Amino acid sequence: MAAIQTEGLTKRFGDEVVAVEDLDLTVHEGEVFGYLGPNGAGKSTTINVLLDYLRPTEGTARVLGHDAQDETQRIHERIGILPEGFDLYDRLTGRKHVQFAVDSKETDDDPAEILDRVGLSPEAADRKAGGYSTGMAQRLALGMALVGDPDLLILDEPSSGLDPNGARQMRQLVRDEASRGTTVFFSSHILGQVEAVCDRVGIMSEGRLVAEDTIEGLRESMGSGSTLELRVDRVPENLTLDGIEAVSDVTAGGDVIRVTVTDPTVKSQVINRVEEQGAVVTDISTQQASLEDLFAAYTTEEVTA
Amino acid sequence: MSWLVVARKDFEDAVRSRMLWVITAVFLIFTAGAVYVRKAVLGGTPGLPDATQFLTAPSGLIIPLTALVVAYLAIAGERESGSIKILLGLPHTRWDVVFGKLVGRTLVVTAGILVAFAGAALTLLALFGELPIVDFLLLTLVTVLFGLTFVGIAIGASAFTATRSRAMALAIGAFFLFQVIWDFVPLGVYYLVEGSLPGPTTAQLPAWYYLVQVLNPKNAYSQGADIVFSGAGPVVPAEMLVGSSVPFYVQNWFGLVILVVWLVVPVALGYWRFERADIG
Repeated sequence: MAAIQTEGLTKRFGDEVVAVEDLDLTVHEGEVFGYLGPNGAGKSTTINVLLDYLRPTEGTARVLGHDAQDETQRIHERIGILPEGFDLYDRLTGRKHVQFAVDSKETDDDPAEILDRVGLSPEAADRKAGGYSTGMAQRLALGMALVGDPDLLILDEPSSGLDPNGARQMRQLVRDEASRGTTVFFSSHILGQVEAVCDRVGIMSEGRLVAEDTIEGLRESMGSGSTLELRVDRVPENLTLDGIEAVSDVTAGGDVIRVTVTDPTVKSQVINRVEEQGAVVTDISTQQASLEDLFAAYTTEEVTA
Repeated sequence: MSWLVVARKDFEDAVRSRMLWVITAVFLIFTAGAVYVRKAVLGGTPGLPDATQFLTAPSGLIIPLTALVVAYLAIAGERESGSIKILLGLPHTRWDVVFGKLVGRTLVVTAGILVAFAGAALTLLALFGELPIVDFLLLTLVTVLFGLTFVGIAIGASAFTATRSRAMALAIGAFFLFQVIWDFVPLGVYYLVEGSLPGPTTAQLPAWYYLVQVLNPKNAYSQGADIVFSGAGPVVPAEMLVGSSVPFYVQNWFGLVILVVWLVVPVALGYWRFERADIG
């Protein structure tokens, strides 16, 4: 059973605006899935349909095997959410918020322990949420999401409003939850955070899913592998790497040779060939094609996946 | 009992609002003051039952105001701010939200009514040296129902709309409709039907005239409260009506029915709309 599955999901606002179009998305149980795309690509709309804040125009969405619109309560008993554009109850303390989630989910979690996990101090927990910074509010909402040890976390832009340290803690938390077997589905337009934690990603562009794959898989389909950078005493004249199939590009300048390979296992072969042609390799470094590059390629050009 | 969790949190949230305490204080001043002024102006003439019943006058004005102010933002305010996403993200259905809010805010208004009526009871006791306890408690009960009705109207308005400003427009509209405009409705209908206005010499009025009157929840409340003092029977004697009998809707008990209708219908309409709404 898939943790999340949408079939032909379409959401239109009025006659003109198509926020999500014919979306077929599958998130498997136990995986960390990054849902990517620029602002306005339809990420939040998808999530809002999964959470039944919005009703689909066409198609269906199932979460943990239940219909998102007809069996909402059963789903929400088992998931933790961090919605986009939420607000807290200004007059209630952080602790009361977590207690409310505990009461609502009928669990026996200790609010103090939850608050500690998301990095809110006991002093902060006893203050009214109306005085919280964006980052604190985000932490508190995340804490509420963790109540009841959910099977699935749906996080909409979880790092927004967090400082770099907070964002790092957020990534650690996602990893911790994933290692406990929790499926994590989260959206982001900041890609550096996704690359490190995701098993698979989906890329949205203008309401459509333009890619759905592992990061490795995406790299392959884009043909942009890693770049091998060799520092040499001198660049051999008429340098040639013909015959190594996985080499897609070679550039040289000064005392540096840059070789783009689509298969990382050919690196030693490349180094051997360079040395055979009379150069002494003094330093080696490799650079992965960043997800940023992939992302830019998917969302700025016309790409059919 | 998901609605119960919502109701409890909502009550805890609402009692922390300063507005509530201001309104309760105003209400207390009005009830205790009304009893005092009534006695002071009319001297010893009115008996204790009259003085007790007179409480319905300030209640008829202040309770709608209190209930509307306390409840009109209950749902629309959360939709506008976005806290509704936290609420609905937890395992609560939209009905749990509407019903829980109705219960929570009714408790808030009821607390205000109890404080104000306790003050009025003490004032009665001080002025008359005694208190008709049973009558007083029954009157309090009918008043709590009246409060519930107006919380229902406000929750209905709040569930019906997506923004604070529209919920406020509906709440203010409801207040003026029932406090001011409705007083002219029976007269207007009479004028349309009879071609003239009923004057001081008009000995008999048609039964429907009283029906149109009691359809206003404020009048339904004073009629329902009159059960405590004059019984559940006719609002006016048969000889004051056109025709020979007193229909069921010209009975005091019918006021309670109208209060329940004004509770159920707005909440149902609001829920119907809220259930279908996109919350973005």
